[in-house]
Amino acid sequence: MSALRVVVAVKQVLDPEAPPSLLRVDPDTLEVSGRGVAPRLDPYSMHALQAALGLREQCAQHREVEIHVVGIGPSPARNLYLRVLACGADRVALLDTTEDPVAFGDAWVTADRLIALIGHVRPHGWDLLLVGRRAADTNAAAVGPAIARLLGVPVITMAGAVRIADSGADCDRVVVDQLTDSGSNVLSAPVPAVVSVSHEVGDPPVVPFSNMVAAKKMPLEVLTPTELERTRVAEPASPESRLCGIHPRDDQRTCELIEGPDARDAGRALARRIVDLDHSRGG
Amino acid sequence: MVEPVNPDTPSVEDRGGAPDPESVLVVGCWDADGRPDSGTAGVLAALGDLTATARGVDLSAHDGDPGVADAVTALIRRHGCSIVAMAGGARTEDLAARVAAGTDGLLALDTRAVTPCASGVRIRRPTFGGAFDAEIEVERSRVLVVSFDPCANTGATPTAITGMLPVETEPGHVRLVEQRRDDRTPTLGGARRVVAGGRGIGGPGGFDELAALADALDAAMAASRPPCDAGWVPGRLQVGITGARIAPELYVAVGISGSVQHRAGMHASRTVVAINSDPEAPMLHHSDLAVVGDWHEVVAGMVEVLSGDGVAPSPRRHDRSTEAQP
Repeated sequence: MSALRVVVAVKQVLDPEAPPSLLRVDPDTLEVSGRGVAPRLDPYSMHALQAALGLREQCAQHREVEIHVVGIGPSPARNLYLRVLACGADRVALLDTTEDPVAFGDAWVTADRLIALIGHVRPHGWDLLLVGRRAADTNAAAVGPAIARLLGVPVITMAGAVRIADSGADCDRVVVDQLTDSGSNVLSAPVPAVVSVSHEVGDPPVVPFSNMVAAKKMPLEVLTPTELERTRVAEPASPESRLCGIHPRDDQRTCELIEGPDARDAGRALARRIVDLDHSRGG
Repeated sequence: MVEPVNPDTPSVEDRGGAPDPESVLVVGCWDADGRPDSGTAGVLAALGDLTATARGVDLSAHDGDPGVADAVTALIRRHGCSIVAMAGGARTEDLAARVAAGTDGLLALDTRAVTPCASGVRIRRPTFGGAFDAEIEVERSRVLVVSFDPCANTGATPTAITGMLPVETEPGHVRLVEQRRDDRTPTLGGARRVVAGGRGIGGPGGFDELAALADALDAAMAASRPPCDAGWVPGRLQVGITGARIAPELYVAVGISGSVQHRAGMHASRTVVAINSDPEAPMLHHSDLAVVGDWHEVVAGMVEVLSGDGVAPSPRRHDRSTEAQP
């Protein structure tokens, strides 16, 4: 049986767990940066990687699963992608957009470039493209469905579980537990298909250091937009939409830490603060 | 109660393919008497004057039908709608993204406000996990699909739509194999105060202990995802990006690390209290009051003060004996 060809799209973002107070907005470019905030791979895209690893486990006895990881963005941090290889990906290919960035939130340009990158990595086609449910910076969910639309393939979003059902010689179907407000719907679609993956699939494993050492010998390729023939003079997001502001939320909370000689005493003090607050609001 | 659309309305082809800048579509649920459900009413209120020419699409009869996205996409193209609005939730997160893709449009999830401006509309939506609001100007020449943050209550009165468009789905490539309903239907919406436990509670026994605090505060019980997935508590207690999205007066998060997915469900709470043994837990950065320490002891101290103080005069209204046991 031929190998199952899985592609996982990951995104490098500023650490989403960093305290918001460390983030700054450039007033001219509206770019958000963080002093001392490390880059991380977007958590949902790591769940997409875990879904791919899960498929490999599912098929372990009878079929190989090839996992190729792609990503686009400025200033890729190599060690993050070594970890992806150490977890079990077979290959990583990145498009470095430092010189030719995509405007924040422009899903259609992102989709177009990812399609070019995936075509470079898997020129003979692929079976499943796994993406994260949302991106931690834009909080958008547009790119997966946009890729599906551009390629004319089905898309299933919000997968809590992903598996492959073999139903014949050329007729693989992907089976997904799609999360709903009241449980889940089990959906199936023929491959090739795009699936966006939610956190319910779990996290990729913590890898031993020896895997990280071995990963350095594995294929990790970084391309420029020129090499991929996807250059575009840096421009604002498609002319029909324009990012005109990035504003810190007014309701950032400043935490008042309640302390005491011991935890129980701190609890008493906390309760008294809550009662005071309640009374001052006429509750 | 479906009213036919005026056949004299110019079609998209007559307009050269561009959406009609006046045309708004509200995708939601209405009952047999034509009353919108609370999410749909929230959308109508948030749209304000933009609803003057809005039409509706009723999803009530199409739960679980994977063909809805394609059907709504076809309607938008046929009628040239330029704004498509729905209430936020798991179902619309899927529907909105697929409809935006199908119409070559722009997607704006968890939108807090849509206001008309000179060139079209301005939308405001959270980014960076809620740390920043992005303000985006969108021209009406492109389809814009918005889902509204259910907790962004504008306080405006919902206005009525001018008519309904029928949804006709067809079987497509994606097939529904099975619908599974568990008990995750959110019931926390009306609670004024909520006590929520996370992985740090350690097990179902810990939640029994936490119930004493909920009693003392006259609060509803809730949980982050891990205790629900582990079966410590029923799934309907789950608060998060999947699960209930609530905005109570008081939210007490005990042993909850505070992932972005969880915070998406409670960020609009008026006062947030965090109790955690880990001083680096993200929840602490997103709370108003916090104690770092062993939650058993902290909660015991709170219950002492609250029970003595008569904060909760009413008897326990959350009858846990009727909860399904995991």
